[in-house]
Formats: sequence, C-alpha cells, structure tokens
Amino acid sequence: MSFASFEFVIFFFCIIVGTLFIQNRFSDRVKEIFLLIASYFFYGYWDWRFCFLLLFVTISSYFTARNVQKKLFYILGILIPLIVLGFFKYFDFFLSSVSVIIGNNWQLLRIVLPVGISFYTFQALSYVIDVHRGKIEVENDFIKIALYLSFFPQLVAGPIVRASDFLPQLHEERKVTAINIKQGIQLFVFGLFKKLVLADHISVFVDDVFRWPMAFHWATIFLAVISYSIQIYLDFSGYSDMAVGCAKCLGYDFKYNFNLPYISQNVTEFWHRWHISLSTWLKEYLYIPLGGNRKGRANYFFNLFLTMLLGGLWHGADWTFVFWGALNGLALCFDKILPDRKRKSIFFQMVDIVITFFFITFTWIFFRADTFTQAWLIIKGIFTFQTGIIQPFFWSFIGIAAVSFCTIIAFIKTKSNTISDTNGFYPIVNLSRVTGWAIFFVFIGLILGLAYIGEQPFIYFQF
Amino acid sequence: MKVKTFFVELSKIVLGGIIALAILTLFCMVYYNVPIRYICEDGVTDCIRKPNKFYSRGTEGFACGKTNNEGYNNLFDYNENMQVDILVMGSSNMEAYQISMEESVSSRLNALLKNYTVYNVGMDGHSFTICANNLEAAISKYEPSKYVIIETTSVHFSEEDLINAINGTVPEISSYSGGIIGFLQRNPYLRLINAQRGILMEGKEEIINTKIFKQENIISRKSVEILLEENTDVLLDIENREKTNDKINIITAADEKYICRESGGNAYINVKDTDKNEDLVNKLIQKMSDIVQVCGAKLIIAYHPRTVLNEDGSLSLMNDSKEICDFSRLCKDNGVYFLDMSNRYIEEYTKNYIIPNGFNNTSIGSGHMNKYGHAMMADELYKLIEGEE
Repeated sequence: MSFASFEFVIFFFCIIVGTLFIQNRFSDRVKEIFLLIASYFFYGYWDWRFCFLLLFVTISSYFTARNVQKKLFYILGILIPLIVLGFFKYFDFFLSSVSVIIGNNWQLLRIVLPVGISFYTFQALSYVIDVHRGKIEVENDFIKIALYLSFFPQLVAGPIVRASDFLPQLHEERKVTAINIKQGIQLFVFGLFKKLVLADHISVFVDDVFRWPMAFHWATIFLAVISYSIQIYLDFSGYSDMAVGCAKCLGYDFKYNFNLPYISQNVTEFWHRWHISLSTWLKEYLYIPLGGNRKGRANYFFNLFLTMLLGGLWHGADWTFVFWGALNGLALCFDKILPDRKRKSIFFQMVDIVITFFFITFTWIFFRADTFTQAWLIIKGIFTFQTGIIQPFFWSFIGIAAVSFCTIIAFIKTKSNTISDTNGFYPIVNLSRVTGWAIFFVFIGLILGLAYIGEQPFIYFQF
Repeated sequence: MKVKTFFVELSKIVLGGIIALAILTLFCMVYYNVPIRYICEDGVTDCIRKPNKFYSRGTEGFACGKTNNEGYNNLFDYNENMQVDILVMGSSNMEAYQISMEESVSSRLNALLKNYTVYNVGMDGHSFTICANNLEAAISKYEPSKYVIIETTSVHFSEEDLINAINGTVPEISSYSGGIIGFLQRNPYLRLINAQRGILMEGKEEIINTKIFKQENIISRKSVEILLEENTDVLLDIENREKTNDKINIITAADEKYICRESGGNAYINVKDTDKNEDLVNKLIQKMSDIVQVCGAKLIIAYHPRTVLNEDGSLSLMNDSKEICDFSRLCKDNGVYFLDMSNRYIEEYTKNYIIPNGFNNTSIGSGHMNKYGHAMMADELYKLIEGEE
C-alpha cells in the first residue's frame, strides 16, 4: 500500500493505536514483534510472496553477521543480497543487453521487480559491512534485525537507514507520545502535500510531453523538463518526509534525506543535498573501498565515475540510468578539476546555482525517458526550436514558486551571506495553540481539495 | 485535572477546525464555487443552477462569472418579452464554466450575429438524448424563431437511449439539491470535496478506458508529412478526408473496436455496438425536426468529436467516419443541419497546433472544450447560418 492512500491512513491509525496499547501494557519485545508483523503486512499488501524474499535476506544477514569475522561468511553476507538484487532487478536487463550484442533473441524471464528491493538489500549490506568493520556490535536478536530491514516507513523507497543509526534506537526506550505524533504527523502531511498536490499534478504535464515529444513546441518541452526536476524532487522528498514522519510518530528518528538540493552550486554539493542516504551509502560502501581519493588522481576520478555509474544502475536496470549516472560521474570529476572558487558575491553564487540546476535538469531527461530515442526527441525538440502545441502548464509554475518560496525562507532563516550554508526546514507549527491546529487543518483541507485524483505511484517505488 | 486538560485540548482542536473550514471556504469561493443545481420546473433542462449567483471554477481551466436570472450561463437575463432567435442546448461544454463568459459559443454567436439573439440553456450532463427529451419544453418556452443548436460529442447511441428519447422517457438527471448532500453542497469547500470524491469514484474507469483506447480516424500534420514522403501522389487535402484517412489508418493501424458514446449525461469510451440502430436514429431526428419546425425554426446538430494525441505527435479524432456519414445523411433527409467539427479541428491542429479540448491545468487535449474549441465552433456555426441566410 502506498503512503498516499486511504488504506495506509487506516493501517497507520491501527498501528499507532496498537503500539499505544502495547507500550503501556507489555514489554518492548511485544512492541517490536507487533511492528515487525505490521511491516510484513505492509510489504505483503503488494505481493505476499515477496515477504519470503525479504525474510530470506534478513536470515542471511543475521547469520552471516554473527560469523562475519570468518571471510567466507563475510563474502556470503555481501554476495547473497547482491545476488538477490542482481537476479530480480538486473537479470532480464543483462540478458537483453547480451542478446543484443551477440545478436541472439533470448527469451526474457520477465521477472517482477519486488518493491523496495534496492533499499532493503543496501541496508542488509550496510549492516554486515558495519559489523565486519567493527563500527557496530553484532545484533543477536533476530527480531531487531528483521525489524531494522523491514520497518515499514523506510521499507519501499527509503531513506536507506544505516544499522548504526537504527539498531541503537531499538535498544532505547522509544515511545509513541503526543509530542512525537504531533511532530510526525506534520512531517507526514507536509510530504503528502508535496506528493499529492504538487508532484502529481505536475506529473500530468510531464507525462504528456514525454509521451508525445514530437507534438509540442520547444518552449513547452523545455518547461516540461524543468517541471520534471521539480516533480521528482517534490515526489521523492515528499515520500522521505512521510517516512521520517511515520517513524517519528512511532518514536524513531530517521535522518533527513534532502536538503534543498537545487541551491547547490556544483554537482558535488548537489549530491550532498540530494538523496543523502544513498550518497553517503555509496561513499562509505563503494567509493571509499574502491580507494577513494587515495591512489592518485587517475584512480580518484575513476572511482568517482564508477561510483556514480553504479549509482545510476542502482536506480534502474536500463542504459538510460547508466548514462544518467555516467553524466553525473563526469560532472563530479569535472568539479574536482576546477579550481576552488571562493566567490563571495551572491551574484556569482546564483550563477553557479543556475548552471548546476540546468545541468542536473538536463541529466534528468535520461532519468525520466523510457528510451534513448525518447530522450533524444526531447533534446532535439528543444534545441531545434520545434514548433507544436504550446502549453504553459499552471501547476508547473505553482511547483516552481513553492520550491523557490521555501528556499528563500530557508535562506532568510539561516541568516548567512553564503547560500551553501542554507539548510532546509520543516514548517512545524505549535499544536498546543488554536492557530497551530487551524494551519494544520488548512493543510489537510488543501490536500483533500487539491490532490490529483489518479494513480500516480511514487517515482522511487520502481527502484 | 486530566479530564479538564483533555477538554481544553479538544476545544482547541475543534476551534482550529472551524477556523480552517472558514479559511478553506474563503479559498474555494474563488477557486471552486459552482452554484448548486435545482430541479428545473419548466422542463427546458432537467436541472438549473441557482439564478443570479456568482460562480468560479479553477479545477479545469479557470473562469468566473454570474448565472443569469434563470440560472443559465448567458451574458444577459431572460425576460418573457424577449425574442429568442437561436436557442443553444447541450451539456457542460455549452454551459461553459471552464472559460470566461464572453468566450463561449453562445456569447461569440451573439457577437457575430448582431441581428439575432442567441440564448444558451446548456447544462452540465445534458447529453444529446437528454436534450432531445427536453426539446419540446424548450421550444414551447422560448419559441426560437430561427435555429435550435444542439451540441453533442457523439453520434453513437445505445438502443435503450434512443428508444427512451423517442418515447420521452429518458431518466432525469438528479440535482442533488435536497437532503444532506444538498445541504453540504452549499459550502464551496465541501462541494469541492464532493467533486473530488466523484472523480475518485468515476475517474478510474475513464483513466483505464483512455489508456486502452485506440483511434479510428487519424489525420494530422505529422502523419500527413510521413504520408507525403512515402506517397507523393496523395495530396494534403483536408476536404478529402476519406481518402487521406484511409491511408493514415494503415500507417497507424488503428483499432476499430472502441468508440466515444454519450449516455445518461456522461461520455464514455466503449466497445462499439454492432447494431447500427439506424431506424431509431432516423425516428429521433425526425421527431426533433418536427418539434423544432412548430415554431418555424431549423435544427442544427453541432457535433464535435473528442481528440487524442498519438505518440508520433499526430492528433486523432474519436469517431467513425462511416457512422458520421450515416448520421449526416439522416439529418439531411429530415431537414436538419449537421455541423461536423472534425475537419476544422484537424485544420487548426495542422496549421496552428491548436487543440479544442483541454486547459493549462489539465492533461493535454482532454476534458472540456477550451476557448479555442468554442471559437472554432462559433465560427463554423456562424458560417453555416450566414450561408443559409
């Protein structure tokens, strides 16, 4: 079930009531088991069969981590999640790519991609590696490991929660409290607004233009490309906010996954602000083990490039994602070549922001397009000043205005002359006041009244 | 103490909720303030809007205005001494709550036909057979001296709808002005919520249908360009639709299984009926023609097909040229004018990339007629009337 559904509202209400009931009468153990069952129910709601896959990854991580100092178990601990991920996500892609190269027409297996597989396999890997590195103690309680990997707020589309961040919380007394619920529910509603009111409406326009790129005027295509940048940000950061909010309601803390990515002045900064949990994961478990910046400049660039290439592949089993990753990898390398610019003027900071935004927006074309042909038609349409339908889509401007407004507020709140010091914020109101409740209800009312009614899944569900 | 705290907190929540509802209501007075519908006593339409009421609507396009003294969308009020020359009937497209009042078909016709008074009784949900059912009452009340225009998005009707229209037994559209739903709808915000609920309940089917839909008659600038490259003897001739369509149908491999159909106040994309119901259609048109002729007016059926974009950038019309030809012939046989907007739509798309449906806040080409669609239809009606006069 999706966060943005009535089923989830009912489900989550039951979980809150159930947890409240349990925490006042039973031990934490019962609460953990209750949350574990709830998480498997949440996951099984899509397809119950994949619960067994999740369980298999959990069991393998649990046992290999217990014996991780033995090389064989360490290798198994890494290989098993990777094989699961590789088979379900990449096998058909690999098969079709090879068959194209060698000219054979192999029958694809048409494997259904289990929702969230990329996220929980990465969490499983981080747990085993962290235990091996001695960063965290091995967890002997199977329930806790199972809950860590399956905890429903982060299960299907992240954020990728690290074992070192979450497991200690399971050993602390974490409770559903009025304060937690008041904060968590506001984060959830904020995310829901981003998703249902802004991102989903924008998706209507973006989908139309990407579906019929030959029909539109170049300015419309250009607006659609910009709109996709806004859509994916609102969609994914909205989901992350909802995940953080759900966890907060239950008394657990997740780190924020986005920090105003479109004020980045270079691609390196962008990746420190966008999908932070994935960037840090890739850095710690891929880039640094590859050698990071330690083995000469050529290796440094190669490692950067390879990390982003694989990061692209992580997003989806398609060459368009690989190309998207490669573009970002090249941009990161280019960033390192450029001399360190210590510009103080806001004007030059703004110029850098605009250049970075347009570069990132350009790369999103490959991320969004189903095929290279579609991406090419989009690019060609813009640069050949194609004639066609003109559609100044209203919701795109609303989305751009909303993101810009929040960014300006964040900049003002930061009270710094350097834009890179700006940090995101959440509009948490004080719910012990009537005005706080009024603002909160207005937000909910706007979601109900303005939400796009149609099936628009979260973009990151497909990964 | 705990009880007291609970009630204090609860009262804050309730008060906050009331303030929020007031704010949302104010917002919806501008964003979505469509007047409630009541039963129409004189039978001109099944229901009417609240008279002299400000309206605004931002869910599909944006428009605001005021209903006239009868609850219809006209720039002027009706009085019994008024001589109506042209009466416009139809569904939500003619009601035109998506565009400004000056841009609707009836307002444009009023501006173009300076010597005639054009009066619009278009109302949401009043598809062709419902208009046919109400035609007698409308004629009896307004006695139009020149023309009656009935707008339709389809010429494909089920046997049941045709029989009902011939016998005058078409089920009436409910106004939902009474009971708890009627009460709740007096608040613009709750009306918006009700509209959202309606889309949620009914929209899914339409989304699915749209996805499976394949077009029949396909013509477009890009398709024609491809065609010309492949076959230089085929000339781009908009008037010569049959010939061009046949060729383009081969290129796009259109599926002839689906058709746009109107029934019970809604438009559907359905699997095409195998029965042609030609006799029943003929009877209905004959009946309508007879009713209109009582006051010496002529009937114009203005047909505007729905449009769909194709992946190659071409525009498709959801129609069946054979069926349109048959319908057109039956109209001619009964002395009824049949205005087919298909050619004009294609011409506008081919020349200017203008689509008659859809708005800047909805999916491209879907939904109601936009200001361009209204302008095109008014223009074509003007040409037809001028030609006849």
